[in-house]
Amino acid sequence: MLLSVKGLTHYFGGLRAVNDFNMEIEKGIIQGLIGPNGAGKTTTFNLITGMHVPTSGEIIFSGDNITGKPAYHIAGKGIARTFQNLKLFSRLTVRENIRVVQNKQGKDAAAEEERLIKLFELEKYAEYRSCDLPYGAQRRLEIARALAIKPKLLLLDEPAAGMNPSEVDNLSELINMIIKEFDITILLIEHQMRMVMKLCHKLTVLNFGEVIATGAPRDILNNSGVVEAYLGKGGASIRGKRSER
Amino acid sequence: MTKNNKALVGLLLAGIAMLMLPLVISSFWLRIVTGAIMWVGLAQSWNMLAGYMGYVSFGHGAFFGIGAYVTAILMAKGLPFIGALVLAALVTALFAAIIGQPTLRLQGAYFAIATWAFAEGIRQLVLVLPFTGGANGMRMEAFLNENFFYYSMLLVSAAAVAVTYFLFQKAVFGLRVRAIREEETASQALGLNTTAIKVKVFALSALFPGILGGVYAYWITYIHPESVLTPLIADQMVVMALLGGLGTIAGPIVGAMVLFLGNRILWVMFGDTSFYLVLLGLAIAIVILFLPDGIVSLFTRKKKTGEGISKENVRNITG
Repeated sequence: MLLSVKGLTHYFGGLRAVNDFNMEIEKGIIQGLIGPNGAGKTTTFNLITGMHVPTSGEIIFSGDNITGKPAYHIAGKGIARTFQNLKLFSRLTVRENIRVVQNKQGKDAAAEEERLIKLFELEKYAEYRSCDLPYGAQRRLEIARALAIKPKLLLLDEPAAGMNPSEVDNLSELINMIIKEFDITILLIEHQMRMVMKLCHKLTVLNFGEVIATGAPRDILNNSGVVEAYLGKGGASIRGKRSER
Repeated sequence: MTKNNKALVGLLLAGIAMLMLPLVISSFWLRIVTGAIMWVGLAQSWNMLAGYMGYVSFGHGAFFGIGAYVTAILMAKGLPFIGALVLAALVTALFAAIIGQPTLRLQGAYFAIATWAFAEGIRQLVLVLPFTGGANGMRMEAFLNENFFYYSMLLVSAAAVAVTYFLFQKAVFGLRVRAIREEETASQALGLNTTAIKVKVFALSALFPGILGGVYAYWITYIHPESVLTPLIADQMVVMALLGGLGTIAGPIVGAMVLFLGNRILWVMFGDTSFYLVLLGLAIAIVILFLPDGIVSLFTRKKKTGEGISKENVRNITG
């Protein structure tokens, strides 16, 4: 297991945001983390990446216990992330956005920088400040920047947010490309179910901070608990009727 | 390349002119220029922290005062000026590193308030400590050599500018500092040890004011809390950097020169008058309203706003 999370619980004051969360991620796959709004997906990301310290529970990454370690330390171990609402270094150029997070500078780093810019089709923007980029390019840059720290595990937090259907398709291709080009594992938070179903090998479903289902995408789709979480009680029967039609 | 060469030649000529200056101007004006150069160093130091890292400190005057007092105290104990100054520099930087640990956890207005409170604390401390002379201040043996102080200030301020250029503009370290300014959370999440970087920058931005304070004390020969620990020192650093242009290397230099020389020229013409403060207020209001990026933005504007980008944007929107 590349990452295993055991009994992760987190309180914000009296609010239990994540409750006894368990998840295992195998190396080399794309795993999805889905759930309705407010289910605790982003909080889980924040706990894994060390931005919050969990109230209890354990996070083991590549055999190391990284629970409660500072964020930069966890990033150094090989976990990178993107953010739901873009967090680029606005007044730094595209090139600088990538260079600044590389942990080594030099020839190899420069070559890697060039490669990332090419792979993510950012050549023509390379010298522009990232805040001057079109939205789609900013989204691509966030992923490129995360890959610049050479992570083993990449956490993508709603990379398709605010994209139109054709952009979502492009993003799916991009994520497939990342899996091929880099020696990497991806954990994906996403609401675009079409994309999730197409990309993910395994899904974890979260509701009110608790895991309500884990499994292959097809099984999750037919899980009555999951359908209920999204559509409410009786949702399963509505879905059943629709599929009969 | 030619553009770089031109800049280099210009810099060289300016350097030579600065070195020759004491030969051509009266000692009256030399004192005024010495003061202006000191303020260039102070404003540039503040710029390292506020301009490049985005942490606005209103307590930076304290480091100037600490440098001045430590130098004065050590010289009173019999240390030679250079020895006292080096120790004062180290003490100031160390002080900043310690103060930085808790205050740099705060952001925005809270950081500004914390640094301001720290500076006030230092001022009150100096008033009551047994070895600082309290409100009476400290007197030092006079060293009457204007050229010495001119070149000392020039050396320290030039060093501050050089550090800003090489470390904050050119090196990857500076890029990391600017990344913290732009997005601290993302910097942490992508592996930057932001606490370590912030403390380093804070200590560095305190080091030069500490040295300048020491030179100032020896130059003026008499220091007291109202002269080297007044909140006005930090305020001036802030206004100078803002007026010239925050986060640029030329900004604090231009701002310090304009404000300090302007202030002195008014003083020469009208004597001690609060008219300067009126002009200062007006200048700040005008800059904030019409030139939010400072005076230097008049010359560097519209370098990299891409027209191509907007076309690209249109294409992206229309698919």
